[in-house]
Amino acid sequence: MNDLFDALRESIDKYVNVDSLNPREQQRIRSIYDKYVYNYDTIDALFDLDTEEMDDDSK
Amino acid sequence: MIQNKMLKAPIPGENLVQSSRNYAWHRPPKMVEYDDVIEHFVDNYISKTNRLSAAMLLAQNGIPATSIVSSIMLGMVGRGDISPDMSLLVAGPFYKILTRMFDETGTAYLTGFDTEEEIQEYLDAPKEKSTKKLSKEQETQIDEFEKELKEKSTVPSGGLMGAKSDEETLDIEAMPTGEGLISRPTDEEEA
Repeated sequence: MNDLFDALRESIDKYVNVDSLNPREQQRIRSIYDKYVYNYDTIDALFDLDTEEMDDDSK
Repeated sequence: MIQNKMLKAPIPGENLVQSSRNYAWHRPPKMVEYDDVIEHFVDNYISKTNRLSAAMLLAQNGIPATSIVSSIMLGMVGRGDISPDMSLLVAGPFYKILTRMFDETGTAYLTGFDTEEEIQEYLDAPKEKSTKKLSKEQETQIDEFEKELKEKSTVPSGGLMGAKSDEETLDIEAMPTGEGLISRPTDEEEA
């Protein structure tokens, strides 16, 4: 990596394509985010607008 | 006289004696918590329509989503909002949130990890407007709201700049009374 741009690109790639990594690497990356509120599941559900609309309708 | 750029180059080791306190990224960052940074991003980039539409415009014109996220990250590091390490941590979630918003709004974009074929497909695709359409209920709601607005927006009457109306009339004496705002004392009071 030469600069911050390359590092950011690699970071994004690993976050988005985490399932394609080897199990050890997957575990490492998931464990980083699991410590916080905005973990993988929360980020996935954050802007799921279709689900939000369905929730509103059910109310 | 031609100035040689080589002569203007910094002296080796100059960075070690230069005062670097003026750079925002050399001071402690404003936000150190990961969750705070995510909330800051959502509040300042996703919730603000002008910024999100600017990002969508960039994406529609062929700027990859990774580059948009990278430039946002670099800006935040440059302003001293977050540390470079934090930018690496939050770049992935930012990318996911941003691309989710692009998907929801029907914005065509390059991911930044596209193959040549995908880029060619993106370039060949006709530029279409957003595929999201309003439902009939939403359209009727908007029509009703517009009607209410029209009914409420009556022309103001009265005052100097208001429209003429028959109801409100104010008679002002045109002839001068000779009195000022403060009444003058009469001769008896003076004595």
